[in-house]
Amino acid sequence: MENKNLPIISGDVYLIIKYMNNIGWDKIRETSINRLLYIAGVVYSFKFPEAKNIFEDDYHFVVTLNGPIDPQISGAINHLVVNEIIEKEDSGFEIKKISEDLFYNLPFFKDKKMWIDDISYIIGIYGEDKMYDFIFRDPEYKTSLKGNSNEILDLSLNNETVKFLNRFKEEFESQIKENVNINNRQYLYLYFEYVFGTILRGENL
Amino acid sequence: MNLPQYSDVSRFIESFQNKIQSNRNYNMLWKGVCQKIWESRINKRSCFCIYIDANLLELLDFEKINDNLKKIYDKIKISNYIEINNLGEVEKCENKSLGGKETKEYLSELSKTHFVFFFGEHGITRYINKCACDDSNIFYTTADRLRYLEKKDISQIEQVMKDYAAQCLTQQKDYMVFFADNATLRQINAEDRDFVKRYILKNRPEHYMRDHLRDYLSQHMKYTFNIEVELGQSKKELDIYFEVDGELYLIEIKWLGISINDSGTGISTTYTESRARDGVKQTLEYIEELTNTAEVSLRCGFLVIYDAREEKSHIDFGDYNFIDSRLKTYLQSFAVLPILPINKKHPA
Repeated sequence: MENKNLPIISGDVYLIIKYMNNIGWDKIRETSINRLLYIAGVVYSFKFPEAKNIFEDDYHFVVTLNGPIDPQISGAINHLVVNEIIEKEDSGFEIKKISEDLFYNLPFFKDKKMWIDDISYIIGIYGEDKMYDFIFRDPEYKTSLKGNSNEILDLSLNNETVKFLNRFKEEFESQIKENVNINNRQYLYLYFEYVFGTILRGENL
Repeated sequence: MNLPQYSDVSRFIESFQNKIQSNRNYNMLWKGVCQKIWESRINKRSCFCIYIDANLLELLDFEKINDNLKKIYDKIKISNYIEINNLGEVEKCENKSLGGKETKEYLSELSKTHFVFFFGEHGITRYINKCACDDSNIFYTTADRLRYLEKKDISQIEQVMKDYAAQCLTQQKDYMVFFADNATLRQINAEDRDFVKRYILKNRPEHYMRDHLRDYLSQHMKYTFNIEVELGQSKKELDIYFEVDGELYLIEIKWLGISINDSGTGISTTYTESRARDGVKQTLEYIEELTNTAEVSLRCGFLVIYDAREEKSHIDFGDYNFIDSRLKTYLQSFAVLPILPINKKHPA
């Protein structure tokens, strides 16, 4: 792992585990941590289209059969375990010691804290066993998987997931005749509900 | 993308504008906790109600609520009105015998001070400030949820395959997905009138089989089935793979019989029982590669065989003596699923 990214990714992993524990997920698998951080990164630019994606420079997710994996995350998990901030029980991880002060000075930590709290709730409501189903319907991941590409998944504003979300928003807006304003956060919520519907029916996106 | 119509969207927007319904903790309680309680109930006809003081909404501790779910389930066995607190502890439980109209009035009155969730046969009715709220989701229905719950899990995969063979592959519209049509067969051999009756598969039928099986499994099992992905090192292509609780499963498809050749002018060589044995070897090679790749945890590789031979005979794998000792190690992660016989009873 590149040393400069270790504290940053450790901070993000800490936040994911903390917020998923908060909403009732018990122990979180390493694959789920990878998946949640990927989702947090890939939809970030839809929620904040004007800002630079705060995950883009630090993460290098590659396509695997298990979903997007960034090997740096595994290193960060080990780092947190060794420092007794998280612990492994059975097949997953949980917070051992509240340690947010260790990460406060990291770049964008406060922004990430708010965003990971928010996205954890939006997606976490469906439960850990649905994460695979969401990932395999994610447009950016699906496009890369079809191309059997070993390239790094795109987290920028131009990624396929953000493009899909913008089309989704346009189609939805075309149905609205009233003068109402749905913000992008609410569209994200709608998008995951939409994908969840396809999961229940066993359909593809 | 199939989006709902205006009336649905309009209804949905109303719920967005309702402050309580878009409250994060309320949604977590409804979708993250109550929905799971409803889904896990075996007998959905036994109705009950869970309610919580509205003032506790911002104090909900979902980790504790999840820890206390078992206590709530225990109370449901003997009570039908259960009040919980912000930690999911049971504050009060009663068993009331109320008629339909009285129940609605009681729940409505209760909802002036509490958030009320009534667990009925067809889903949860929520009461907020004396109003009963329907399920405001427009992307799926309670029927979708129920069908999902009825789908099989991995322990039932053998039964799913037997059902596929008995209920699906015996239908003309399904088995003719794999067989060459009459017009094509007449073009190949116009002289022999009985040629159209022969069991001749389309060219490269494995692609049709893979898609057909994937669609069936998606409709009947709870998982997301993916196709056509190359393995990282060898670039071999997996037919179908899926994940269950963080572990990977794969399905390799082989077929026995005859197909149209690549140029479309005749028929291919016949694939016999030895093809099934090749399938075992190939599946074990996939298992070997995936087991030795750090990125995934492979639980099992299945071999599926479509038997399109006109004269079907038992496929004997012996004791897998045709497998070399290196691959034999991986037999513990391997299984042959029930053979799928396909017969062209009525050509088309």
